[in-house]
Amino acid sequence: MIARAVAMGAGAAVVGAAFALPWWANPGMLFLAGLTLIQALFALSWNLLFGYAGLASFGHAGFFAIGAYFTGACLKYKFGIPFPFVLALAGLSGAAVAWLIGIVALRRLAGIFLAVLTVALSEVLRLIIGYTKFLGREDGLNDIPRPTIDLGVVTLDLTSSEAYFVFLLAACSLLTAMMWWLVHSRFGRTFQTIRQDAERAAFIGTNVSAYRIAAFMISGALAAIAGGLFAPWTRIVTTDEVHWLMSIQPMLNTLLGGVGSFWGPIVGAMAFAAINYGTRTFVGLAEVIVGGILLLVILVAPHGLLGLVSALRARMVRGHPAAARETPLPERQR
Amino acid sequence: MRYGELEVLKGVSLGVASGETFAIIGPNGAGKTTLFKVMTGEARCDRGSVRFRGEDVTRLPAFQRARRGFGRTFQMARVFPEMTVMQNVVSSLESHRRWSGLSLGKWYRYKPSTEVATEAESLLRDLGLQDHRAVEARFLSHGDKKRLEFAIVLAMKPSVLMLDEPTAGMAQSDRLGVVELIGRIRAERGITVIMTEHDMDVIFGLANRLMVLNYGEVIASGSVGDVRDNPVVREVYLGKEMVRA
Repeated sequence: MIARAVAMGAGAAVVGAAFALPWWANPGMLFLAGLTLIQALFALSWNLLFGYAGLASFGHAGFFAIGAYFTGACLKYKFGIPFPFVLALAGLSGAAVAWLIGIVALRRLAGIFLAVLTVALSEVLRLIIGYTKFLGREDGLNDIPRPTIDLGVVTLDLTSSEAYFVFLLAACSLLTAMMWWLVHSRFGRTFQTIRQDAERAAFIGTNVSAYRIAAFMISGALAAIAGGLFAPWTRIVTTDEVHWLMSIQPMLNTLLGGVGSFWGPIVGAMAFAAINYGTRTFVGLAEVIVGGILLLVILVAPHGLLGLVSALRARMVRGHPAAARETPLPERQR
Repeated sequence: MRYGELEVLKGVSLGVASGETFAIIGPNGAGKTTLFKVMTGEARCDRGSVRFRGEDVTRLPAFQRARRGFGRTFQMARVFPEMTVMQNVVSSLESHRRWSGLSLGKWYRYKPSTEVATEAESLLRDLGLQDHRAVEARFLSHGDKKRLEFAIVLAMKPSVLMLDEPTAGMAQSDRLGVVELIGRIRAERGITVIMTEHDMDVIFGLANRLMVLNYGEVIASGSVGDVRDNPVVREVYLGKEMVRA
């Protein structure tokens, strides 16, 4: 109970500090914080698939890019759709593409086909974007304006970095809360049964392929919304957003924070941003240092930073080294 | 039923009456597990049909057969290893219940309804697992995992219990416990049991009727006594010592 109270207090302090960020942080740090929020949301979407439903997507950047390009195009070419609807449509587009891939890869075939098809998706998208003038070809969409949201009685002007950051933080918090509720509901428990033993799950009457497709659609929608939030923040979207390196980022964030733990991807994204920020001045060495730190974390804490915290806590509470060995997995039920 | 060029089941036909305990035996590679999979929906036969209470279920996948009343255990107990014993049973109980909202009242952590929790407690007591309710299933002994698997299956309220070598890999004491458990489940719940097993003591102690497979063909079927005395079965599978015993 005390540990939970401490964790909730720390979480509230982090969110509070983040909301205050526009008033004290310099523009560079604010920009990095915004990117971290987006990366955390993107990693959450990947972790829903991998950590909860037991499926791997190696081309998740495809969904991110769908959202980013859709939102970027809507804002740049002034389609006149209110921004919240643009984000919702971006999410629906991600879910629709995930459904199309899912009905091919997940109805009868094993999960490996999903991994292959998602890589194919991101490559196909990269080629399509590269040939589409409307999407800026290889140069991408630039000068994307930040939106204003007309609520009738009041208009939210999000054109400044500070205002958009507060909106970004509010949107990410809301989506994170929705995800928390989802994975801790009966629906989320069914995902966990499928990940732990799909055959047993089928023999308690679970339509495994339907649940897997649903998980993939939710994950695709969330990744697309993360992309949708990204476009007005950076004000430029290029084919880098659909590159395989972009697909690896949510995996690294999740592995660093803790696979399967709900907060793992968020902690991982924050830790990754901190490592990047701390090593930014080591020109030419930064990648080596980041890689070395990641390798060290994986060797020392194979269940990520939260897994390490859980193991240390178990060791301290029970006072015996064996206690730590008995708690090797991040506590998924929390 | 074929795996590529190999015909693994040849003209096998069987019928099991409600409340009966039916055993399928035979040497390794005889086709027992394949026949089991055809019945449960894990494998599809290329000819013939599977009928359950008059309904043709040949094309139904495993999860739909499970919803109709097929309960299945595996040679090595299959449970949800990272869930507690209680969560395992609750997951099974909830899987065939209608959704009753998404627990908005307790939005931060889903809890099962009182009805489900009471039923789960009752099942755990019935199977002697009540003291392990908060233990993650991966930490259970093989015998306790088997009991948990039975609890998961019974939570589905099956009308047919399909047991694939229920005592495989067990010590003698655990084996006797499982035989007693199957007998009790059958007596108390009136469930039809279809099982494969290598241990003839288990078969002769539980089965009403049995069928012997060899290279995908039925070489004998009938009552326990008939099959035990069948010279072909003795030659192919039981051996003389087993028959004397």
